Formats: sequence, structure tokens, C-alpha cells
Amino acid sequence: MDWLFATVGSEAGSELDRFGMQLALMAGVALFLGALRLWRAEGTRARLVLVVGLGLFALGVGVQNLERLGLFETSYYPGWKVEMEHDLYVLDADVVYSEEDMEHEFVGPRWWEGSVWWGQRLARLGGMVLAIMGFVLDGREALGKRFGRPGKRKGAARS
Amino acid sequence: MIGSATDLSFEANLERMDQFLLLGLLGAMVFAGLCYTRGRREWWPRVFGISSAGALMVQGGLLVAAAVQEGLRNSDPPSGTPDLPFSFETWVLLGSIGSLVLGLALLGAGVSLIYLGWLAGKKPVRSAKKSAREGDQQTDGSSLK
Repeated sequence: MDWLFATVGSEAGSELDRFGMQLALMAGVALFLGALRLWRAEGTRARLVLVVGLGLFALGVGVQNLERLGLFETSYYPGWKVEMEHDLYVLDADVVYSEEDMEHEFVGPRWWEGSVWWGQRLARLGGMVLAIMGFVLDGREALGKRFGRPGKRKGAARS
Repeated sequence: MIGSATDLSFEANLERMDQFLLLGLLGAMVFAGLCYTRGRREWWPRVFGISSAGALMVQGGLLVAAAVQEGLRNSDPPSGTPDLPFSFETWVLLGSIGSLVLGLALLGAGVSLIYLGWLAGKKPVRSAKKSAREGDQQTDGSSLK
């Protein structure tokens, strides 16, 4: 079996990866639209939490997958400056640079790259936490409505 | 030594947390799917629940595969590339297939959630129209009498 997978090669794997990313991007948007539709049908607090959570999740997943698909490139990661200084002044301390090299200006990540990096990760993490809360609360409310448990209806009545 | 090849950087830990939170989200979706399905005969709540459960299983499988890979990398004797029990290409291809199926299952859950929302929005309108129609019929009947 192993030879079969090996002959298919990693190129096909990367194509599948790309397709999976596109699907995940569409799925994030579809989940957000579904939650929005649910919230518009009945604006409970649980559904509001779900809409906000899935909106943030879709935003984070969208930006992450667009970057992975190569729509834009970033070179930022946390601690890049410390690592660069370590490389320049500790690891390559003995390297002598020519005058021509010294004339070149150092190019770091662009000003917005850090915000995009942190923004998409925080949006995804926060969105997932809110979406978990939203799904659990909405599920409990749905059960409460169907079987008439007074304790479960409270959230729906409040909104 | 165990843990020598494991990436414990902030970025790697954030990525792990992200993966586990996604697993939690899929678990919550399965729970919501079960709650929506109980006592209902429609198809779409079931599609939502089944898609979410499929995505949960695939995500769990991907996490287990990543853990096995990490374990093999840290095994004694440690191997630089995780070539056991499959070749590296096989791991990559299996991971790609897994992420493709995960994307498909998530998309299925998303589409069914849209339909669920559409159903939830439609029902009150439908019943209002129906009651209005019934009211009209009653008034027609009374006027005929």
C-alpha cells in the first residue's frame, strides 16, 4: 500500500491540500451565513453569540487560508527580531560584510503583517470559544422548547 | 530523550491550542445537531449532525496521526524523518486527504445550517399564512351562511 501512496507523490497531496483549504474557507462562510439566518429567524442571545463567534471564526480561517493559498505573503512571526539579532550578532558574529552589503537596508516584515498575524489567530481562537458557547446554548434552548423544560427556556425568554 | 524533537515554541503551542479548540467546536456542533434532531422528522438537522460528527472524527484522526508522528520522531532510536511505519510521502498524502474530507464535512455542516436557518425563518411565516388562510375560509364560510 505504501508504494501506491509514494507514487502518487506529494504534488497531488499539495493539490488536495489546496482544495481542502478552499473548502474550509467556503465552509467558514457557510457556517456564518447559517448562524446569521438562524439569528434572523429568532434573535435569541445564544444565536447572537453564535453569529459573532462564527463570524470571527470565518474571518480568521479566511485570512489564514488566503495566505496559505498564496494570495498574499507575510514574513512575520512572533520573536522574529530576537531571532534575527541572535543570528546576526551571536551566530554570525565573525562574519565580515562587504561595504556593498552594508549599503543595503535591512528589510523586515511590513507594518501590517504583525497585525494580520495576531488578528487572524485571535479572531479564530476567540471565534471558536464563542461558537462553542453559542452551539451549546442554542442546542439546550432547542431541547427546552421541544420538551418544555422550564429551566432550559429561560435564556430564550430573556432575549 | 523524550521531548527533544518536539517543537515547544509559542507558535507551535498556539497551533496545538487551535487544533484542540477546533475539536471542541466540532464536538459542540455534534451536540447541537443532536439537540436539533430530537423529536423532529426533517432531514437537515440530521445532515448537520452527521456532517459535524464526520468532521469531528476526521479532526480527531488528524490529531492522533500528528501525535503518532511526534512519538515516532521522539522514539528510540530517534528518526529525523517520520518514515515509520509509512514513508514521509504517505503521511503527507494521508494528511491532505484528511484535510480535504474535513473541509467537505464542514461545508456540508455549513450548508445544512443555512437550510436550518431558512426553515426556522420560514415556519412562522408559513403558519401565519396558513392561519390567515384559515381565517379567510372561516369568514367566507360565515358569509355564505
